[in-house]
Amino acid sequence: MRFTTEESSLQGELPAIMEQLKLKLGNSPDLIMRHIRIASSPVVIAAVIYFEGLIDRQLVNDLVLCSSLSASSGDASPQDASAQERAYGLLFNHVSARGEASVVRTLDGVLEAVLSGCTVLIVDGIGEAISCSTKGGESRGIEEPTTQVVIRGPKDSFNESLSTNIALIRRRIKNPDLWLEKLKLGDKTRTDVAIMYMKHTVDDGLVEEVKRRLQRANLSVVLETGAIEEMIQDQTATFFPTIYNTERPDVIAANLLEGCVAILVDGTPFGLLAPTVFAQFFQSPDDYYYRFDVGIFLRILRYTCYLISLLLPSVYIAAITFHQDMVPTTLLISIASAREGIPFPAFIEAMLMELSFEVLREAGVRMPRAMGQAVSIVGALVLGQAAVQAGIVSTAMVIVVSITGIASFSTPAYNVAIAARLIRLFIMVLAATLGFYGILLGCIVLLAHMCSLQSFGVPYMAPFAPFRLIDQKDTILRMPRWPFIKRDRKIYEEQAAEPWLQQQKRSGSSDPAKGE
Amino acid sequence: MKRKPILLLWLLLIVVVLSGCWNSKELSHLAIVSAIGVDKLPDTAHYRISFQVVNPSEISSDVQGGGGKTTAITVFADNGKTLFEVIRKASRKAPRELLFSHVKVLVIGEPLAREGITELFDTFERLNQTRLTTKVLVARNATAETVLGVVTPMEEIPADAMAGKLQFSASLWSENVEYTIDDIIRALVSMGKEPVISGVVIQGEPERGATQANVRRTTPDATIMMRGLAMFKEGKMQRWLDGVEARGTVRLLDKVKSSAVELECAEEKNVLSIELTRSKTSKKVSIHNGRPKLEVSIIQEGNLVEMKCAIDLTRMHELMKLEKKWSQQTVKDVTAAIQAARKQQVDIFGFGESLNRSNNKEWKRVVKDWDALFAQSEIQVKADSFIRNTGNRIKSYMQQQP
Repeated sequence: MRFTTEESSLQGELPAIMEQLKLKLGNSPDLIMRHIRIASSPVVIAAVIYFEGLIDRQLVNDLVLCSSLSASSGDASPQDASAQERAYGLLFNHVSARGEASVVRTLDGVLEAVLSGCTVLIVDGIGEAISCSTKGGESRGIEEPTTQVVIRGPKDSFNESLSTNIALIRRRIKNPDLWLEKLKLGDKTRTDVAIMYMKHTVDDGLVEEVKRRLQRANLSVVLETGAIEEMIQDQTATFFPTIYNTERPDVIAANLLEGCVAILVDGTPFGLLAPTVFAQFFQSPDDYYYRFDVGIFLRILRYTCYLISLLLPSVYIAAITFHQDMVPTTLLISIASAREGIPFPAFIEAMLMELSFEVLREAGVRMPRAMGQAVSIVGALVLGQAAVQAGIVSTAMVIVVSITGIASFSTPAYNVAIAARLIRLFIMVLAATLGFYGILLGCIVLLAHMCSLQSFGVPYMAPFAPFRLIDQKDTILRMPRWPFIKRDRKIYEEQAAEPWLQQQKRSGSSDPAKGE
Repeated sequence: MKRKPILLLWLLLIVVVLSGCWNSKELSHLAIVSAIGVDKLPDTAHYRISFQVVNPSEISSDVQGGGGKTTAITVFADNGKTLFEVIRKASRKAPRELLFSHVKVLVIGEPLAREGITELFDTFERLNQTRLTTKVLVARNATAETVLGVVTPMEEIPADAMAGKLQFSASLWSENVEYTIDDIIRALVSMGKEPVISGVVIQGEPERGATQANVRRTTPDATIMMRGLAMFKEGKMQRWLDGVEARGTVRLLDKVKSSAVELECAEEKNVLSIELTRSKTSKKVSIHNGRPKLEVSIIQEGNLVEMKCAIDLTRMHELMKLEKKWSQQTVKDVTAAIQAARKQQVDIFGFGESLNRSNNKEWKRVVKDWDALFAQSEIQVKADSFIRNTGNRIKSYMQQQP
């Protein structure tokens, strides 16, 4: 806690403590303080403190009710204690029976508990307080994911409540191995952050490394996972994301089972997954829910589209300004005729169109929903029709830019698509100065850079570089499940030594297609 | 550590500069040449070279281009001693730089062809833009320049029209061969083979063919047509091969893909037509007592597609009679072609080459006077024909009448 430099205790009169609290919180009107009598002879007063809006009203009311009834319900503390201590003891028993409760001994502790949605009970003259978890308040319901849409598959997504998000994952993996660690990050925001992993699947070193990096990050403000992602990634000088983010619980669950560590942050529906590899950004949960052949087709389509969105404008520029001989005659003539009367060189034309497309796209995202339609109509007319008719750009360029734009939307992960958008501009410059040779140089540099990246020690381009044949079944391809099953069973067979299993192993078939 | 970024920068600079790749040309500064024509100016050492250049805005299907203001192509021509000189000279007339990567056809004027074409192709091999897959034609009874200027219907670019006509007449009619610059150069340097080049004629009025009005009529005033094969000897054109001779030549070159063959019916004057579907020619050359013996055997298959006489096709021996007749006619065609070539002492069929392949020692002995030996050679032509199909009918409707 860094609210104050010195720790102030809870010793003293109740009104004085209350006054101190009020002072620290600047008399915030949403801080509610209720006084209840928890013992009548002699009278013992307790204060109930909470923030309106952070708590579940029902829970607090229950708590208050049971607190005031606690004194009459029995005798738990030693007879020689004072009335106040006896009342406090009874109260604590009651409260901890109703729900999560802990003891707080400092004023700052009280503040932190109250700020994170707990209700604090302070009994006059005891020097410590009881903090009860009554977290609640308004939060968005579980809705359909908006950024990672699937046709088939679960339709739930995370919301802004950390406990809901954790529950969504727990519900999918009913396994004692699913471990959860919670910490608070951000000096100012004190945000709850959860680290989840499968204990016996994950590499222990990885968990340690994630925790170490989170601690080292030394953040003061954590409002979104983006802040954490930026501080814990391996390399910062790159366009490529080296930590995966998703709002889909099924994606997190699947990756936890593969040995990844998930980081969830209170207040955002986006969870992080580390480590990650480049291939993961092209995997959509659909792939695993469809038949494998459909999955393979879609994967290949996505990789192709990524290449298109990265290279198409550059290839166009290079082909028509350097390598006219490589374009089929008929196509060259139609491009030439479309370019008749265009005042700009192909490169300027391409840049012009690319940038206006980016402007349109950005405007489309930022515009109020109601005006989105207007933007797309104006954009389509201005870019598609008017610009061509006015002779500013050629039809061929409009086609190239639109295909590029559409192709860039087919990548399931938005952040890796943005990387392609940025790199595209650089490659276009290379194409305009050196032709295909420039594109080739750009690609070589790009590939070398991608191979140099790491995500928590895992090579970013794995399993392509370093190449691992066994892992190719879930990269560009999505192989059918039975090879996966075979692998799992092998581990099982090694571990289990039961004779019946050995027998089955000898007679059983390994191919599930034959039936088991 | 400090030296590393500087080293990297150097490497980058070297990579960029060493390649020598700096040749950016905007499409709007280029004129796409679709065909080249080469003529000889009479009584001088000068060539007259013409370039058929595409007007992209005329080809465009775009609304804004409109079209119809000029022709789809423009022909620029100039004189000079070398092809390259004329290419550069043409910049005085053409508003853009000429781009030769898309040349479809090279047309050679007949006078030049008769004078000799041996030294013509060197620059095509040297320049990086020109392609050796460009098709070669000889303009018959006309200059190459006029041939290039004829506006054609359907294909807006006449070079495409010429290439299309050559391709389809070679594969459907088989009186032409589709030879490229590369093929011609190979034949020119080979001792055992001389080149033949397909001929192109202007049918109609060449003057009116050069205007857009030519394609505004349903029957154009001038049409470009493939006709005949020019026979070359030592790079000089000797004569034209037409009809039966041309057909036989294409057979001997084994370039026949499909054709239509007419046979006379047995007794009547009427004819029947056979669609040739497959033909395979094999040549064998041997030397007997210093005299070459040329053995040609042809295997051909076809379908009977038209019959104007009453033959009972249900009977096997009738069909076999037809097959025999067809074989005889093919032998006649081929023999006529060989005779024509022997008369000029030109081995256009590559008999010398096949001797070279089969009996190199013998070939080395006879190579010096192969042309004379070829003229005295003994010929043996054999053909096996098969009619595989008689179409959707067996009997003609004419036979069914009472």
